[in-house]
Amino acid sequence: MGGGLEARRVFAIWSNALFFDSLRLLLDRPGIELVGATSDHVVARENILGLQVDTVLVEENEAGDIPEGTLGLLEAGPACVRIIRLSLNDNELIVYHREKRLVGNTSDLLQLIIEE
Amino acid sequence: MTKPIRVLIADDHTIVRAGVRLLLEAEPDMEVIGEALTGDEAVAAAESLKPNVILMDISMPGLNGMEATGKIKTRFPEIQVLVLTMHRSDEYFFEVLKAGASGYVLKGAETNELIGAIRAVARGEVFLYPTMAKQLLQDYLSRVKGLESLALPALTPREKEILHLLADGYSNKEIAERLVVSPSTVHSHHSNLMKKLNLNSRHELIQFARQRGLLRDS
Repeated sequence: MGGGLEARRVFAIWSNALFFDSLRLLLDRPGIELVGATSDHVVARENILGLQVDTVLVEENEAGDIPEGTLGLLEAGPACVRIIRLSLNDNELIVYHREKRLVGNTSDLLQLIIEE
Repeated sequence: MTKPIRVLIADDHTIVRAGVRLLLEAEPDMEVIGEALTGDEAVAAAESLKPNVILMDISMPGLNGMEATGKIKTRFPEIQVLVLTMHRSDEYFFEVLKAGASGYVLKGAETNELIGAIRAVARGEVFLYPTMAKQLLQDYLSRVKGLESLALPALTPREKEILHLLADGYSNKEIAERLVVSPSTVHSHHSNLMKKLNLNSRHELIQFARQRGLLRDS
């Protein structure tokens, strides 16, 4: 999973359709493969592990939260799976459990997905 | 071929800005001519780029989207401002409309709703996101209801009925026949109406009814 020349497999869990449509276009480039996306956290929890993803993008809901069940599942998953939390409220990317980054430009997100 | 709609995106959120640009650039009738990260930049870009439509976020550093909208509409009334926000609250909604925005779209909208909204405001129309339009309608109805209650203070249902009939030109005797009551009862209601509405004649009563849309079409 996630070899140097292989595309990074990304799963997106979104709250706002417009935000996801934007993300989908931003991720449409060599080196990144969007293998699944849903706004339903139950569906996400059922699918993520089986899809052997490298990165999970999770958009916060309107209240600025991510359901505990989803976060717990992701954090309990393989350590190599990168979890990136996105928010419409803040111009920030939060990467569990390592760091919190301010988004300077779109390439920051793409770099986070691609980097080993 | 018609000219494309020239759009300026004003949003401090990097990913939203970049993503919306890609979404709009996929439309043959739209051209993204610039981006602004603050309200101040949006005002400056409105002046230098002369867009047809500005997609305006509300929460931005410095001058916010509402203030920027007010400034832009004052100086460049021909530019249409479409607010694109995640705020659902009435407060923001009414404030941006008062500032002169032509529409209000939530970031939770579908892409085709945003595209349709941009086209609508570019044509000079108003676009309100359906749930927000419902709020506007409810606010309007509550205001109308408030005005009605002010205009017709403490009238009983019977008095209102008689007011309608008087305004329609019926005499006290005719009203009595229609309502199956005695003429003296109608006279009594008529007198009470004059007193409550502070009117002195049937003519004033009819004018009052006309001003408040109480006259029925003949």
